[in-house]
Amino acid sequence: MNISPLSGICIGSLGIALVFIIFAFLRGSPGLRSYILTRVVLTLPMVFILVTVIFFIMRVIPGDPVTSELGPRGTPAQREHMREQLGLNDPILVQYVKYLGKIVRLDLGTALVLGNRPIVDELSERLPATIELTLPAMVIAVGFGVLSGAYAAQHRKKGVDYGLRLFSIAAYSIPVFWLGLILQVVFGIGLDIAPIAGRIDPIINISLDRMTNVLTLDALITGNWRALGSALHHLFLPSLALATVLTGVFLRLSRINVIESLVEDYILAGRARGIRERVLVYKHALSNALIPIVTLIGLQFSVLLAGAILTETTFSWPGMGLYLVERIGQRDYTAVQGVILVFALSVAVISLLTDIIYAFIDPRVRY
Amino acid sequence: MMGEDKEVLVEIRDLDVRYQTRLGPVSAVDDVSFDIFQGEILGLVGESGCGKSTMGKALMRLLPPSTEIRGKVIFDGADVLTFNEDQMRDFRGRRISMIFQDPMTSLNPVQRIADHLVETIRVHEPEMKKPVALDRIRRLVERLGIQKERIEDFPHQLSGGMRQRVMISLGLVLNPSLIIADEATTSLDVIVEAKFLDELREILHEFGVSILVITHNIALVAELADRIAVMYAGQIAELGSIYHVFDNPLHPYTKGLLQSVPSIKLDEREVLYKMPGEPPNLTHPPSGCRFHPRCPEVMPICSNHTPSLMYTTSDQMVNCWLYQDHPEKDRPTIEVTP
Repeated sequence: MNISPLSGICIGSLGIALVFIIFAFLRGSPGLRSYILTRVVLTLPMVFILVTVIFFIMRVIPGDPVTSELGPRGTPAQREHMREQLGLNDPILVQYVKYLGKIVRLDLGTALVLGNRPIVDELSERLPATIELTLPAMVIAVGFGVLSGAYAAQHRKKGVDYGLRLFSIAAYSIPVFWLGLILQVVFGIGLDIAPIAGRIDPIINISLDRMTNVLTLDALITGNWRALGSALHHLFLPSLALATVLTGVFLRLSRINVIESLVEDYILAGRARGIRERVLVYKHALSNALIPIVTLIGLQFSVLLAGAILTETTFSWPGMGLYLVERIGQRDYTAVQGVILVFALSVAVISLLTDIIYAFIDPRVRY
Repeated sequence: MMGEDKEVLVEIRDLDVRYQTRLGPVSAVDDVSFDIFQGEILGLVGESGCGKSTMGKALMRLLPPSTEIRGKVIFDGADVLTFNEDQMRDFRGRRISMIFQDPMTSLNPVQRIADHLVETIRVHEPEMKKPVALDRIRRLVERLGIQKERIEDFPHQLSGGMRQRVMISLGLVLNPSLIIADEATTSLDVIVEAKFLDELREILHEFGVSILVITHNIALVAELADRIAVMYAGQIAELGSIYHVFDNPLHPYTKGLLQSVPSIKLDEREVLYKMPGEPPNLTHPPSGCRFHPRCPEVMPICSNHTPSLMYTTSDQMVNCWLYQDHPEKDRPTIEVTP
């Protein structure tokens, strides 16, 4: 059970992204190369600014980790001892410089509360949980949203189009936590067919060997089918809630872009050559509509993270979002800074990835 | 004379096309009948909004579903307007194909040229293998003056003239009997256009295909076509071989149109004819002859009765009371004020 500081899946997914970026860097045109280089270099000041802002905001808001750890009954001596131990008695600028020094050495520090574990260890348990929740939600939302958006565009102004539009507006405007609560009431309590909290049945959990901390993946690798069933069962409601909200976004986006593509001359020209309506919609119009959609998938990634925070809180899903909320409450400065850093880096990587993909799906784009 | 000995390819009879708009129905094409012969180039000219493009699209049924189309379009003995969706799809591209106005936007920007052509062939001949299709495509594009390596390019990598050649190869790739060219050279510059037209005429005669050239450019028709049909406000005003129509225009609209073309010789005293008035609003077309409010030779009958397109010689037809008899024709109308 002793896992490397950043567990397998994080290294894995980050690795895939890096391999892809390096591949694009080596194979791409000189223009693309300098573009990637510029973007990577620009990421550094962005992360620096973000880290700085979070560092000071955390220290400006009232309360501190000592109070939350010791509670109101902590004696002044205990408090003073703990402050000294955590380095909180240093001037704030000294703390800041020390913190930056650690970041540069890729050290996220240790938690200020609850056993003072290294932040990387804590994140390596939490990040896989978030990936396990958000990845399927994103795949379902993009797949279903884009295809049903194209379907609505094809049947524009017919019953099915109005139905899908109504669904997308409703899904888009429902707060994800409210939808989560309703799903819990209906499926979890009313129908009693799905668990409403946690990632896996705690008893089954004992039998599962952890490798990547993505439970479904671990269960698959070790062939633990009971654990796989339980993990999927627990995944059902939270990913449904998150996927529904995101589907609304992608459905609207895909519908409007396919409609815009369908009035283009090349669609009429294709129709005049006898090409099937279905092929015109799902191949010609959609492949052109995908260009703005891919851009927005990149932009929606931050919305996805925000959604994940709310969904994890609603379903007690022990991921990054829930961790962030807990540690903000406990004023665990280093933990919050660590989460924000990971979020910022992943948003930067994803947006760079979408820009590179953009160059591949649109032959007109040359960096 | 041409016309008599030619075989008819398409018979268009009593074609009516009506759009529904918020201001009421617009009759964009009103009771039009004419023939297109095998192997001929027929120029359809008229001002913007006269219904010429609508007519071209109506022949291929490419108008929005809410459009009302009535009449007959007989092609190979069958009425195209009665075809179901599958028959129509098989018909488009294979029997009649269309070359559009703007080659810049008529090609799918994310699809290679070769894929456009392969797709077009395989929609109609699904059993054809890709290498065989590519072989055919390479021969065709080389004949059209496109280097065969260029078919691996995306549309944005080609010049306007090249793209128009690609559009033509897309129109010819299935050996159709009729090509409808809707303002096909409008977007080319004049030098490219002239060169292109020469080549086009040669190629089209070689392929033995009929063409309906839809344009507002009467000089282009003079250059390219065998016959000309002049359209005004959804109706055919005059139709005939270009020699007859250009030498001896009969309809006052045709006369005006020919006089309003600037000549290339710089003659300071040359005064271009300006046709009075505006093209009519087709939601409420004028009564009688649709041209009468603008006609310099208007007669009393013109505002009350609609003329019809009739032969004046074996080769020229005109839709005007000047050349037709009617019991009321010479009687002056008496304005009765109660």
